[in-house]
Amino acid sequence: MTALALQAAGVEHAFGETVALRNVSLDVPRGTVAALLGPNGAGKSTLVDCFCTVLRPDAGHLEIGGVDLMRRPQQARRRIGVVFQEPTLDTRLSVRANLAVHCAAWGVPRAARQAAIAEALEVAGLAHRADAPAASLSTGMRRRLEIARALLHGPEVLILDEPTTGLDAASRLALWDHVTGLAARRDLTVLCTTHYTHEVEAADRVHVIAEGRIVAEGSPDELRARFGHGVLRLRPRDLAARRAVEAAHPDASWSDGMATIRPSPPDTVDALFHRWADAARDISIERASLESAVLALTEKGT
Amino acid sequence: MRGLALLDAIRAVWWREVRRTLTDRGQLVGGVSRPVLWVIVLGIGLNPWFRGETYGDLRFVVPFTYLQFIFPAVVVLNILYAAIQSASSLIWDRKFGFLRELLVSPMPRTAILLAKVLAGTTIAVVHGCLVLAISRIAGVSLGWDTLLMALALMAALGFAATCLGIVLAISLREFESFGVFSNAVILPLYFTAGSVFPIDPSFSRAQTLMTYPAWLVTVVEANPLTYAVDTMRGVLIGWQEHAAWIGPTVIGTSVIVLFALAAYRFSRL
Ligand SMILES: Nc1ncnc2c1ncn2[C@@H]1O[C@H](COP(=O)(O)OP(=O)(O)OP(=O)(O)O)[C@@H](O)[C@H]1O
Ligand SMILES: [Mg+2]
Repeated sequence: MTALALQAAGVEHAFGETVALRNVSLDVPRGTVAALLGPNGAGKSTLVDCFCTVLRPDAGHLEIGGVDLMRRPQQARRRIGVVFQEPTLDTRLSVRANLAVHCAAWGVPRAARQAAIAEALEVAGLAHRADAPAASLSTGMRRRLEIARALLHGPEVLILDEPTTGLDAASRLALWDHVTGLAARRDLTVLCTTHYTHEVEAADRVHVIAEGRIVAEGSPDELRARFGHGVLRLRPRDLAARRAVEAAHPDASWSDGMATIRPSPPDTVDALFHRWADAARDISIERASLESAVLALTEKGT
Repeated sequence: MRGLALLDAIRAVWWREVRRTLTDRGQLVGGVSRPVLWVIVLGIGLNPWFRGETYGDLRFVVPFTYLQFIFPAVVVLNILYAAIQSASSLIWDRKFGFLRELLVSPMPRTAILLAKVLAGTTIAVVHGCLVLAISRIAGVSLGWDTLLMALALMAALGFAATCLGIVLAISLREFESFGVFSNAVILPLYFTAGSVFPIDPSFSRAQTLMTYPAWLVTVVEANPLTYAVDTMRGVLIGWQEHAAWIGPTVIGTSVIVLFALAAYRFSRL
């Protein structure tokens, strides 16, 4: 048993002229929740497709729980549960029938199916809708059903591709709670992609991807501290104070007598606030946010 | 995955596909309206014009009514439509649907394909039976032995046609809809299969070429479906243009070649 549940090393993939993944390396330790965060077209789904053996990368190495994906894809497939970006439920069949087909296709032993399906219905909170057609479920319910379905065969790793698209803010957070709760209870490893920055606060580790490259990784706090921009805004009390501010921060931008300062490193913004508090008529700070960190990382591009 | 678990997986995928198709009202409407239009309207309409036609000193000798003549061809037509329509769902299913999910399952690709093809076959046989249900109106009487032979033939045809549909669906992925298939593949195949008029075997080749333009005769003779329609006629009305061994040979070969081709394309999906 290796300590890594998911491993990608030097993965490259191109669709014709479009290079979707460039030398992507990523490790997800067993039992953790990893977020893959990036804007549209960053290559998230392409990497997910490589991990679930739908796509064969042009170069690089991929492992799931120590199983080489290229050499033993069948064995690797049993170890992962996948929820794709596009919903793949059979809306014409009942909730229960959707789960039953999955059990058969994944070879869940017949004797264990009833129990597995009952548990999945429980996990999805859909026990009371078991015989309703999947078409009658709301978007959030469908997502929960897809997640429960992906777990039917008892995978070690759960891969979710933008599971929160189409959900409102409250349902998005509820879904993340659901996923992190599942991960903790079942000792699952989770890789989840998203383009909503605030969602990844729930993840143990965030991998930021832009234009097919992993541009940063770390815990949400680490990313905030390393790449975020704290912002200090102040309106000097008088001309002398303004001179002092100008001298100390030549790169501050001014408008209407208000200075905007982006200190580096970003966590010095609090210290600056105390330093200038007495010299200012108006003063405010914005602490470094993950949002600003990710924007800085993904806008810079390559 | 092997043995019983594999069989069970194939059964589950087959049944899912059959269930969702047979509950689709749109496809059933087509399955019922085609035989009604072709057999009842066209068959009855053309019936008086079919027999005793004389071209110069040539005379057609088909000993049947036009209704009886076209009836087996409509069975084949309904099978073609149902099978190819079932296969064409692959285009959509691969991108958004259940197939995407299946491709990450531990089922071997060939098993997934087999389940899909068997489902297409089942649906095709059901649609073929919809035509058989109006055999009385066409003046065709079916005994049990005839019915059994017809079922076997319909299954073989449905199997081959589903494989053909799958090969097309994978190759022509930019054609998003079934409509393209129906106009570009099914109808041309059908009309050049000796389905709506006979190229009479009692003519010598020279006589045939006098009656019909050479290109048409060549196309009809080269179309494998000609021999399927012909065999279906042999089974249902006991009359066929070509030697009895040709049809089963052509159909058997198509089943093997088309499944192999579909398996090859499907494995690289
Ligand atoms: N099947 C394909 N054929 C051609 N190009 C593709 C294909 N799939 C993806 N691409 C290209 O690869 C790049 C990465 O796409 P990908 O779908 O992985 O992005 P993503 O991060 O998942 O984006 P989104 O947030 O929009 O889902 C994009 O430039 C996209 O246009
Ligand atoms: Mg995507």
